[in-house]
Amino acid sequence: MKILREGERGIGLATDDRGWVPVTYRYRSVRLEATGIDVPNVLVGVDDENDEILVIPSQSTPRLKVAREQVKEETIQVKVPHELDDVLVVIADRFKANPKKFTPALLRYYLSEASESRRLCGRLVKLAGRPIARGKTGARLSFRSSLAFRNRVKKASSFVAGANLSVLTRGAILAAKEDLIDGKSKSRTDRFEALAKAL
Amino acid sequence: MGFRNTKAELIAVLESGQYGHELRDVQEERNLLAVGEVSAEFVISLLRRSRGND
Repeated sequence: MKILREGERGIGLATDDRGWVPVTYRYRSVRLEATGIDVPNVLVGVDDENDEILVIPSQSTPRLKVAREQVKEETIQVKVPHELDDVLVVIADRFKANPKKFTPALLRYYLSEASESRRLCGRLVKLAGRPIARGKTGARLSFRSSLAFRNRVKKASSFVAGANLSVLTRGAILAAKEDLIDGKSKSRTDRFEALAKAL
Repeated sequence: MGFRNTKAELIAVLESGQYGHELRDVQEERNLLAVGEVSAEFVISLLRRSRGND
């Protein structure tokens, strides 16, 4: 795939009766009508004569895709006992990572894995039944999630009786403690070691 | 140019990534490829299965 550069020339079909006309590729904002999103810095082919945007090259599609997906994202909020919030900070500290960045990735990982594994899902539900996970909920966790992610969590909830987002999240925190702090899973520890470095 | 030739040319262009979309078609309900709702690979697989009389 050839990556076009700003200032390169091409052709585009004019919106009036001029047919194919020369265009120059420039970075502009593109408005997506259905969602009303203005996507900045999109490389587009601009009509040399009247400055109208005529062409969107294929390399600009991922940028439009990301902008549309961000709109679809919502924030998931779960209330957990303070002690579990402490566990999350301890885990982030273990990997020398910023908890604000590390925690959402950690929770998304476990919840996503639980949607693929009935066994893990069962483990999370079991862990969520421990007294430490059933204390007074005073801390609020929130992280952004896509529609696809929320659908995966729904799928996990159907695996085991009593599984829902709140239960799975509390279980995920304790599973992460067992795996990453207590040394139960070397492979997951290695994975989060690498993730922490990348954040 | 017949259907088979046009189809082959279209698949080659999609595989190379050397194509653009007319902006007026970048309306999310109409041009799913332009906004990334479907991938070029998906369109190619659709084209490969299509016959001239579909």
